[in-house]
Amino acid sequence: MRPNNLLTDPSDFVQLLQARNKAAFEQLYDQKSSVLYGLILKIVKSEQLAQDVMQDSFIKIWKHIDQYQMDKGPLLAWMIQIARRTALDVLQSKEERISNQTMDQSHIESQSMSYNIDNIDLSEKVKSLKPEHNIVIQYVYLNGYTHEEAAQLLNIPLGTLKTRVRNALQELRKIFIPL
Amino acid sequence: MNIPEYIASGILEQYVLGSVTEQERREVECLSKIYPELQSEITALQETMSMYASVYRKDAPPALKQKIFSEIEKLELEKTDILPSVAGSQAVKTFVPSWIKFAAAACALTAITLSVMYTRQQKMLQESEVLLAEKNNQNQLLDSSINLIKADLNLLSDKYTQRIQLSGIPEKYKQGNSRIYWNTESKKVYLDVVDLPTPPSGKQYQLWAIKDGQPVDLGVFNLQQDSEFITMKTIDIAQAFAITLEDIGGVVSPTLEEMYVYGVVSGN
Repeated sequence: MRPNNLLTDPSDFVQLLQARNKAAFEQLYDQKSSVLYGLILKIVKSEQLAQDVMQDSFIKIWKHIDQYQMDKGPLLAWMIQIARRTALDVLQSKEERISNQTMDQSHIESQSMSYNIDNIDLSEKVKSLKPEHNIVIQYVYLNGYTHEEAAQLLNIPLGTLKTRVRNALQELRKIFIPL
Repeated sequence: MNIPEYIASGILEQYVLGSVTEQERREVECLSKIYPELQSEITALQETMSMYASVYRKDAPPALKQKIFSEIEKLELEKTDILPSVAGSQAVKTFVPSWIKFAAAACALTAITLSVMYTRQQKMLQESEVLLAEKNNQNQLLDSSINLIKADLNLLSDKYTQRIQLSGIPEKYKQGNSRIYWNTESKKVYLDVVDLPTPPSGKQYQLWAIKDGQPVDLGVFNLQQDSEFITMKTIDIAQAFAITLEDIGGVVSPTLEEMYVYGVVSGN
């Protein structure tokens, strides 16, 4: 059963969280866990692993909630960073990144099309991303490749990769946050 | 600091994706505290990536929630060092954000290339850090000195702050050295004594502002042990500053033969 919306003011909500108010954390979980879980699953690709990573991530969020500062960005972004970092570390230790290297471009593209049906609106938007941008975001954001690794995989100079990353994010930004 | 260039370099995108070195990360975080346009870029990029991430959203298995919150309860019982933010631990809790502000002020100094002051402030920060670690039960005292330093550092990064170098009068004390930090907006004057000889007993140093050819008393002061900024009287207009050695308590007019350091405000 979902707890009611505790507070509408985000800074009040953050204060509650930093006081380790249990109801606030439950609300946080109810509202945001699907974003974290979905992303983690997309990265580690196994439900079992994803659950472990989800648990680790949320515990970390709870433990380090004091380190979150509102003026550094939204709470969700901070949480996603923790979840993504945890998921990518798991990838690294399992050396799945190396086995993923055998995936060719078309495989990655078709993978990226299997969006959750609820997110039709957002997923349509992401589909409109230029292919070369889509790929660099996949490599860097979801596969956890470093810039150097991604450049190698794509057979392009590092500088080109970096420019492509910047352009990719700028394109994404225009898609999601139209002026 | 060319902001558009910095943004165009793509460093912010790399920061948001986590592809930066430790030093780059600190630099971005530092600069974004000083330049709000950087922070708003970063926030926009973070929101973009949050929305991208939520394209993949999927409900976690219901049982997982219970598992997670059970573990949280267990941790809460076990670890007493994870304290909720309540008034009792106020001094400790405010310590963390203050240091980030110090670091930001230190970055401001680097950004306007006052590299000498940067090392001095680092030293002050380190000194304060040692103090705080040792004297845990003197929280109030430390809080006020940290606030002092914090205010000082904010002062240094303030665009209205003028820094005036007072150099030694060769006949009196060639290596004499002091600095004035004058906030032309608030009119406040801060003195940093770098090198002045210890006054003989019965004597005290006095600071003067030279305003339209006339000396204006800005107060007497003692030489401090560690480097600290001394708050003097305020002055609205000044073309120069000087320090003379006078009787304890100071005098109405400066004894010119007892002038130790002198400096002109730039633009005069």
